[in-house]
Amino acid sequence: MIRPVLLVVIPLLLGFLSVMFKKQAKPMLIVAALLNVVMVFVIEKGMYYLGNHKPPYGIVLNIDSYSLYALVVLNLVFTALILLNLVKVERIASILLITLAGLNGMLMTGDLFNLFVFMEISAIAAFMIVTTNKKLVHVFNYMIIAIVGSSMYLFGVILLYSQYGTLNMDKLASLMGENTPGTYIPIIMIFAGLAVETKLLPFNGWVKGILANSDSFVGPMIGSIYSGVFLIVFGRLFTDVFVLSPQVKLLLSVVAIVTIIAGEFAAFSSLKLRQILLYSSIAQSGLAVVLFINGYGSVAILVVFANVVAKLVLFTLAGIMANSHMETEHTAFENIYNNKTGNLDDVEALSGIFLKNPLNGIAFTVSALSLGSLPFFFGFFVKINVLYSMFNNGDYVLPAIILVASLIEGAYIIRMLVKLWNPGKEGEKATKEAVTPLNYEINQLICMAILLISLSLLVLGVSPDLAISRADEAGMDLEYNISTEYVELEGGMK
Amino acid sequence: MHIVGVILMLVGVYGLLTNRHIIKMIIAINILEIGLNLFIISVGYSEGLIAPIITDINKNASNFADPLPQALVLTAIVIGVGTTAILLAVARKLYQQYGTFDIREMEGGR
Repeated sequence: MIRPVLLVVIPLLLGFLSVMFKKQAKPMLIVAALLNVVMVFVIEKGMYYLGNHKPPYGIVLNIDSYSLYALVVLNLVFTALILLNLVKVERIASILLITLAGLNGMLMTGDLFNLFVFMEISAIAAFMIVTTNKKLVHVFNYMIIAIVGSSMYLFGVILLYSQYGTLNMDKLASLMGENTPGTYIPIIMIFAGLAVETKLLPFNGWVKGILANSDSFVGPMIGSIYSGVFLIVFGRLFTDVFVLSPQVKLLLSVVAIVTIIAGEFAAFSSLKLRQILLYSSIAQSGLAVVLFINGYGSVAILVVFANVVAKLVLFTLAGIMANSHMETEHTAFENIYNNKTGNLDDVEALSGIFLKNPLNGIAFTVSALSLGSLPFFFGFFVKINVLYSMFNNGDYVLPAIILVASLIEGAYIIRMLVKLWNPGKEGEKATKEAVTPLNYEINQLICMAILLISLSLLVLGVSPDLAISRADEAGMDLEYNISTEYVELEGGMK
Repeated sequence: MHIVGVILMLVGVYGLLTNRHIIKMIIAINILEIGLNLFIISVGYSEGLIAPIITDINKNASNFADPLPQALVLTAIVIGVGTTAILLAVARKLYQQYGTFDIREMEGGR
């Protein structure tokens, strides 16, 4: 039997070893990532007590359908991202090993303080990853906001500990009553702490600085993987552990809804590719959060999954295109941008770029259309599931908001795609001359891999049964607390 | 001690909101963390409790203080040191790049 703690221990051990054997760091990273992928498919569900110490004295790792679903997605996407960026990961391989350990730990742990430790490990690794953007002012801002966020989380956790005397999630879930005013402040503190990485208003001030300057590695890592993991952890805490009173539920829902609306409007009014994607990410996070808070765990997992895969492709391609360069001398562009390379991700400047790279165009289009919930794409089935669940539950306000947000989302995605495929101004005939003089280089193997990843969204759109049934199973673990195993108080050795 | 912890945290937040000097901001973050650590310690402390270390003298005692918050604070301090180290490294790089510690001047030139 494979112990799930190995998902954390192996990358962590290799992370430290890679500091001593720097030349072997990249192979170690690849080995750890691939090993983790194999392990997530063979680990068994259950509660694993570290060192055989029972809670509350020991730490428990909770492997249920929910965490297993997230672990599979995380490790597959992480490995895919590493393999797509083999050159870039060379310098930060040790950090990525620590990242892998931290993110896996976050998904598995059943202890609130242990979650804080894993969050900090992941956050410190994230700080180092984003420094590769070389926009240090933004990195500094991100670090300050993230540290304040984690302090708020810890403050909330300690308040809960002082009230209930336990940090074990399952025990806490069984002790918490619905209308306990004393839990309002800790829950709001923990919400605020997690809101930094899940990019909710008003804690997402860092997102624009980091993701608008991201390359093909940092963008997907922070915008897709980190965001996805924190959302899953958010779901665990707010659907499985904390019992929310109607007032708290309303307050947190309002924050999430404002995030959705603000994110969609900001994306609509953006003219830069990566800005559109980052604001769309903010809106999607808001959507997942509002679903988790209101108990729609299964569909929230699907939203997170669809968003993670789509954003992996979109941020990767946007990062590559942003570092595009002039194909030939072009006076008009030189006048506008006054330089020949770097950060040319204005949608206007990239008009018709997919005519030069149709395979990338198809990959980008499939992922974008899935994100925009168009029929036959996975995102469409996800959105239908969201609406179906809500209508079934007699909820009509949230679906109306989600539909309006989807309309705005569809509009800016179509507008962006039209521009990227169709050169020339609106209302004018597209000509070859109007195609952007910008160009970018991409390895053919990477190009095909990205295409395959994006086509998975089409395959899942045509045949979504597997993804949906697994998400249903995972959601059941949350809503009905099947994962919650009653923990005896006595503790000590088994 | 609870109150002192919370006051220190608020001082840290105030420092973060009012300072644009990055070293002062890092100091403010540290004050916030110290306040939080003090608060955590205070959760495990009550009047009349003794240190949770079993010796020959107190092996039958039952009035031990809760040892868990102390273990938590130890971890939190280590994490705080780590994040401060990275913050200072970034601050040093920023100074090399812009020749100033004032974040407003840097933002103007980014």
